[in-house]
Amino acid sequence: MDYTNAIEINQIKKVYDGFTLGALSFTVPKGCVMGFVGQNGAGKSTTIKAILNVIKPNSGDIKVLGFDSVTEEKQYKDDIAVVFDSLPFHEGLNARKVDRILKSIYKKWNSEVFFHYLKRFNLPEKKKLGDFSKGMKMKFQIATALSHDAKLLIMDEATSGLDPVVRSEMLDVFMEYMQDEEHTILMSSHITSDLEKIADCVTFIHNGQLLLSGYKDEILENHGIIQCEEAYIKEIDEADIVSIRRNDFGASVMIKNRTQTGSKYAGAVVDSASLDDILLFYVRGLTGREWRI
Amino acid sequence: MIGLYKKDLYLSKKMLLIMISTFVLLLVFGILWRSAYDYGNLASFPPEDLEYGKRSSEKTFPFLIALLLGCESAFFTVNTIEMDIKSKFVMYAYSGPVSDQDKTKVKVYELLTAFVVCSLATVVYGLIFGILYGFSDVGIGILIGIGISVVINCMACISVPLAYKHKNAARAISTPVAVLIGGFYAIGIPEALFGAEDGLGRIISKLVAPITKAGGFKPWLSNNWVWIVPIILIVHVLFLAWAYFATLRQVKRRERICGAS
Repeated sequence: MDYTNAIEINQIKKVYDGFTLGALSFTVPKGCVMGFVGQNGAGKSTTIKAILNVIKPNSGDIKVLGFDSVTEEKQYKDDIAVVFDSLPFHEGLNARKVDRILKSIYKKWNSEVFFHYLKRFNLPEKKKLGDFSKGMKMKFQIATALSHDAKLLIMDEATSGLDPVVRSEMLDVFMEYMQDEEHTILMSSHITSDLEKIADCVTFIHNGQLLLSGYKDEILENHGIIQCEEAYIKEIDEADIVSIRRNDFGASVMIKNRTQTGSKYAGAVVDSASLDDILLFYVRGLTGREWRI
Repeated sequence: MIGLYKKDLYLSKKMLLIMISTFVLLLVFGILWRSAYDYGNLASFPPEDLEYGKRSSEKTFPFLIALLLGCESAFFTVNTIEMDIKSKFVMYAYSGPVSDQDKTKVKVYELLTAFVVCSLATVVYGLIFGILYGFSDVGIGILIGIGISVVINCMACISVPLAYKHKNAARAISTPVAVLIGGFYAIGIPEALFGAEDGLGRIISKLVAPITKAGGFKPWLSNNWVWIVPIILIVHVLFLAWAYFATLRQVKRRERICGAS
């Protein structure tokens, strides 16, 4: 199946008591690392569950690797790998047993690759998974995810709770995985520093609604923060403002369309914004244009 | 599908060891008990009691093993469902290339395996008893043992979809057990209070009367087990079929099993 987008989410909506996801639309291009960013409870896991066809959206449709996620589920499930925030294997099992189990589940399971990753991550083959540390469990999940030649790797808060050394090690592994242009990663996280390192595209969601989706570099280039005094705020075009953070010494104004409007504010210092800043200013801007710390 | 079967086998390793230990311990205990009538303290019983004791132990022990192993095997089939849900493996399986039908079939095959193991255990136990003490009463013990295996297996058939529904093995097992015990009491209490001609006993007697009058139960009453075995098998197959469809219905309710959000 030829496809340009590894994932196409089209107007999906899921209504729960007290929470509504969507209508949400975005795409994850093939060969791209998509960072899926949002606060806890923003709807990231719900979206991932919808992609995996574990929950049924009230409306909308999803295509995964070119196949409909509901009606053609069988055709793509062998080609995707999922990493959850906690280990989905029984704690009494060990790596050898998991290899034997998954060998019979995935058509393209490669024991050699699996044991290669175990060795690389210094994971014991006979030790019970229950005795693994949190970092070891995450490494183990990643080893299983990368051992059946999956074209799409979906990670739900996979690096949360890991120390910086292990996170960096994992990011290196993902970089290697992305050497194959057929491979795609959707990585949900609220640790944006990881995504700034490896993501090509970023999608922000908040309270089940899409805030922003696009190429990371474009998003970072298009946003900036003007550190200024109160009086200068009036000089800034309303249409360019995302939101304003006031403090005792002045204000920080996040502007969008920085590349086009940058010359307008030549008199001010426009700092680069991080993904964290962008998320923060957009989220706070939803409740009011101005906020104070 | 084989992968899921292997996974459940690995998870049930402890239970399998308990089952083997149960078999060995009960075999040793049974042989000691039966031998006590020939060589031990029980040999001093009056001849009539001695004969009764020998015969009853030859009948009882082969089906006792089916009862114990049946309960243990039913528990592990249902328990693995709860373990899958708790460890999030069920979510992992939904995101993998295993169809809902295959997930369900694995459970039905496990139920069948449990039945075969229990039946084989009762046969092996009976054969050992037969070789040691003669086959005159062992056959009935084996037959009752297989019957008990069927009954427990049928109850496990009810428990499997309930385990997906309640996400709790103990609740899934206790429900059919409570219904069975409740059923016995529902029939037994009116019987005890008013006699067979009153209460539920009377209703059941009336319902059964046309069949008994027409001689419908005669083959059973005349101890002709040739009729009983196929009926038991048909009932068992019907329960297994029901277990498949009821479990499949639950397995398809992914959202409910994996949590709402």
